[in-house]
Amino acid sequence: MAIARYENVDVNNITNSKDVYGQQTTTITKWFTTRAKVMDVRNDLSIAKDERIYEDNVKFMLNYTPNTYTMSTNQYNYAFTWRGQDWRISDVNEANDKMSITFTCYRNNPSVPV
Amino acid sequence: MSVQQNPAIYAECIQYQLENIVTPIPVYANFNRNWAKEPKFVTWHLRNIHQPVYTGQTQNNKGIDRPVFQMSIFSQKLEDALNISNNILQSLHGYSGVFGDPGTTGFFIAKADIVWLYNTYDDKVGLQQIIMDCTLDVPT
Repeated sequence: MAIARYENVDVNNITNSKDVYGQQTTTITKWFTTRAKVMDVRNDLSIAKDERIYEDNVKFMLNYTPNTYTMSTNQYNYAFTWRGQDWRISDVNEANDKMSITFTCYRNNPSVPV
Repeated sequence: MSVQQNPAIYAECIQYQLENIVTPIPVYANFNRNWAKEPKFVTWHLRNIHQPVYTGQTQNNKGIDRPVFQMSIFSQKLEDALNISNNILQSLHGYSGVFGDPGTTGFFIAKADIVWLYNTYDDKVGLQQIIMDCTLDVPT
């Protein structure tokens, strides 16, 4: 039987703002801590001319709850903290049986959170 | 005789001035993730900061600065973009006075001159767009 890994993740709210120069900023504040089923950890490298750009991808499966339903509906308002890093949501998949929601998350190196 | 103006102050003042003209519509220096949930917003890009240098060995021997900033107005409805562009035109075209926050970094401009360039549609993001240029005459 395959091993499922459950790890602590923080779910964060994202606050959009801007500085005096009009540059957009995103601030994360912790909403709650939970244990997610962590899947498909992947580190992807693309080399554009002289730069190496690393893109990490991971999937977090959480139970279908009012909170995760809200996250699914407004995914641009939420982010995860896992392994001490800031992960932003790129895709959300709700299971057809409404038992779970899977969030595909990414982070970049060099990192520019958006 | 004049010293070179600070681009950071220009940026701050453009942001302040545009925000005050189009409020409550958000203004940004660059296109960003918020377009997903904001039906209309304005972005700007600063270019061509240049004080002509006159002949001579004195570094301060320069003319007035004439920076240009481009404004891009985004909206779902063309009517909204046209009206926002009109607000900016009415407020800024031919304006002379303090540009930016008078309490902090605002500075005097002899005139602001706007060229309403063109309207277009960005089918990638599905938004109407109007592009305008504004030239500032900054006596130093």
